[in-house]
Amino acid sequence: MSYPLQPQQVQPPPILATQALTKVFDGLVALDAVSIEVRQGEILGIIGPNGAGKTTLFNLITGIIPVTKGHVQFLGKVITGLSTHRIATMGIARTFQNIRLFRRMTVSENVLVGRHYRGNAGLVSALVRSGATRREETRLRLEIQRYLEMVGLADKADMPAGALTTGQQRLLEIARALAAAPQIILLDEPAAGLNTKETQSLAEFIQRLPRELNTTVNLIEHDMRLVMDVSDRVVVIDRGRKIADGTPAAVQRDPQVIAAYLGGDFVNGEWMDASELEGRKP
Amino acid sequence: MTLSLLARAIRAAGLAIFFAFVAIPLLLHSAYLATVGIFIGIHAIVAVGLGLLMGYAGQVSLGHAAFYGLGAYSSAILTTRLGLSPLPAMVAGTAITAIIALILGTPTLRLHGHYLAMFTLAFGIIIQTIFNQAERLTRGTSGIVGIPPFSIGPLRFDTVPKAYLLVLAVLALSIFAVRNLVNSRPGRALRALHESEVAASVCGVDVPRAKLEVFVLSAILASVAGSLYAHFVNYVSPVPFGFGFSVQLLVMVVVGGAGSVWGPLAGAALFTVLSQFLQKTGERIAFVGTTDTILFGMVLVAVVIFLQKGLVSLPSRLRGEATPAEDSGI
Amino acid sequence: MTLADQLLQYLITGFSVGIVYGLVGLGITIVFNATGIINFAQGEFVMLGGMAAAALAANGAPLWLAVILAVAATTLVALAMERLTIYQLRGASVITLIIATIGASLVLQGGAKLLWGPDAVTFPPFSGDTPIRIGGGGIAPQRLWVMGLATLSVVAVQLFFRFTLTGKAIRACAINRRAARLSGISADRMVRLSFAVSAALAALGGTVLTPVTLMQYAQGTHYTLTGFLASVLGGLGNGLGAVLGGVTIGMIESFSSGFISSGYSKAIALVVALIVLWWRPQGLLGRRQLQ
Repeated sequence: MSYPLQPQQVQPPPILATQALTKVFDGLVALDAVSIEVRQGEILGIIGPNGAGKTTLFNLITGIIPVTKGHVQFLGKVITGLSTHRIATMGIARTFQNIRLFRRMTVSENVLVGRHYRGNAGLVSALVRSGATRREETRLRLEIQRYLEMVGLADKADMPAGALTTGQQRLLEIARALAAAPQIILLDEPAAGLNTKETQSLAEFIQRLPRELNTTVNLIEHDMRLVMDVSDRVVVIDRGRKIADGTPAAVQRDPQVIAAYLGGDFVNGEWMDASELEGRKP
Repeated sequence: MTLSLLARAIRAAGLAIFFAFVAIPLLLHSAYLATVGIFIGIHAIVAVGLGLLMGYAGQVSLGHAAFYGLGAYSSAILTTRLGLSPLPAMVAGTAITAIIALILGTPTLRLHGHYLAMFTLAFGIIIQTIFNQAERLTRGTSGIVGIPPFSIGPLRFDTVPKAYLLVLAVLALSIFAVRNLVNSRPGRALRALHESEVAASVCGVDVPRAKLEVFVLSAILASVAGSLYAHFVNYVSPVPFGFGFSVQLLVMVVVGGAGSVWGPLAGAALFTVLSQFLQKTGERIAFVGTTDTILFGMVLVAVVIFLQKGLVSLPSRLRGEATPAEDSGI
Repeated sequence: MTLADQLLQYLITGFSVGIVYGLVGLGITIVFNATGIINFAQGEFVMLGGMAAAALAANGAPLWLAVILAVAATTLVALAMERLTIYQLRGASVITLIIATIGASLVLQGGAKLLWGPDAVTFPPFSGDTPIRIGGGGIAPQRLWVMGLATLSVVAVQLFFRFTLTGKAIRACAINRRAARLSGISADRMVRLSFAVSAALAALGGTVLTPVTLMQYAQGTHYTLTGFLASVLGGLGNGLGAVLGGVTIGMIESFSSGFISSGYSKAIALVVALIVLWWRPQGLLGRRQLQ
């Protein structure tokens, strides 16, 4: 006797998954057998004390550093060991904790580079400025307008990126990542250096992404209120291991998570306590 | 703004001077001036390519004279030994140089900074040694004589004014092409990877391939210039194709400003004119003749000290903009 | 000469030339560690040391005095160069500084040509030139001087950096300029000191080698390039590595000159060096860079 499965009980396969992902640097275990699944269209928050290995996780997924053990799967395909640019063209985009913009290039040029692999013009056709190249250039410039407008930088399109404020730079980096029209975007501490108002706008912006741009979001953040507000699910990483995985509410009550933040060890010289968990900045 | 007006005036004046200089040798029917112009043009073609490599892709090459020499020697050998006419010889020579650049460029992809500099320095020396030693092919230190002037079909560039126009045309074409590149998708990818290879990769730029492409392109430009040199001077020997010339190219690019298209051209012009001036004065004033190296060295140091960011960025610096290549290279 | 004698000849020639490359490489490393730039005039210090000593000896100075004065004079020239170029360009980019050192090298070359003419010069070897018989062949005794004095200087320099306060101060500056300054160490003085030490090393190498190879105003460039190669081969920033790299290059040059072709010997040494770097990008004694 089998009942037909209720529709909401059938989970689509995760679009991104890591299996026992491990990274060892010269004897230091940065990430220890971390397995995560990211479902299509969700916003997954990743939190944890400083130095827990969150950015390392992003670096492994995007192929910037090699994996020691374990695998990464994206859209059903194993992407472990592929080059960074190849992974990017498959549909994973990211921003960086320490903002890696092309400061000497203009705002629109930054976003155009973000859309690099949606274009085709090669060296030779660029040198001669063929008709096809010119048409593609016009098309690309039109297409990025949307992303510039989404982050409110359309009026600053010709400014050098280095001249923007921190908040604007973070938005530009996000626009650059979105310009690739990726399946999933990995945001690494996008709220760092933003004030309360900017963080609020950012939160609203992030929440629009899955619906408006059909983009799944992975979000590393220290700002607890932001993470708990926008995330559908939260993963907690402490000292390289995943210690919790669930809804924001569940994770906040998880004793292991509380212990990790309240724990007797100093992490990077910082004492993280429960007030962090409630969203107040240290 | 008065300042911006001043900057624009300087830029307009610069262009006017440029065109004047270009026309003068022809107007004055001066073979000497035209010859200087030819050398400026040939050096500029190499310098523009090297500027692309250094200013946009952020790579360094201390051995670019090798590609210049490869172009010169292949044109020389193919026209004098195999009887090819100059244009197909240049094309073939450029292809050979491109292949060698591809082979030499691949290991450089993993190198940065001083390691890259050393590697390029080393292959520059190796190639010049081959020019010196492979006597059956290159006639060693005696060099190859009797190289015909450049010709395209029945059109022979056998007088100085004609050669001058040829070099100008090639230079103009090179600058046109490089300008197109800089503002295009691959050009942006280059400028991006100069600032952050990781960020560029994450945007889908195939960084190693882009670096290799620009490396080969700069080698091709150097090779074409080398061929023009061979057909103009009608003689090649290993001497001009060593570290000395690689350094001169470096100076042209850095002093002129690596991050712009016109910078290397200005650098080439300044450098060539200065060395010509010192040479000519040295012929007349004995003191200068024995001290020309010293004077040149001192001028070089002085110029570098007072113009750290190069000449061509002067108008934009007056405007207060950020210059395109703040560190002109590495 | 038996094969063994030949090999010994090549070994000694290679080592004596290589250790001078190593001295230049060591000097380049010292300056690199203090400033982050490659001093492309380093080879000129070799040339100046040798030619100055030759000029002094030709004017009647006893050899030991000529050597000391030549080394001292070259060191002074290096300090002047530092003041007029490096010091003026504090904060400029690496490539700008390198070009400045190239300009300085031109000035030094031109100066040497002006002072001492375009021809090669030399002076008598320290202990005569009767070859010392070993096996079936002979070694010029001056080569032994080269190897001995050069090795002594390398050891002395290593001791200096490791055990004296000034030496440690220079290393501190290289590692962390700001912290060093906060501890009261003057970075500018350390840079000057580094220039002085490296120039003295190069000049010493030049003076002892001149009786064997002669010295000419244009030879500096060869030593600069090879010294640079030696320091990269050894692992940039590692002084001992630079010496090792120099000796390696000298040996390969010597052996390939003997067994293959003297014209190609330099190119062969370079190719081998490049292959070594390909296989071990951090150099012989360098540490692997973490991403």
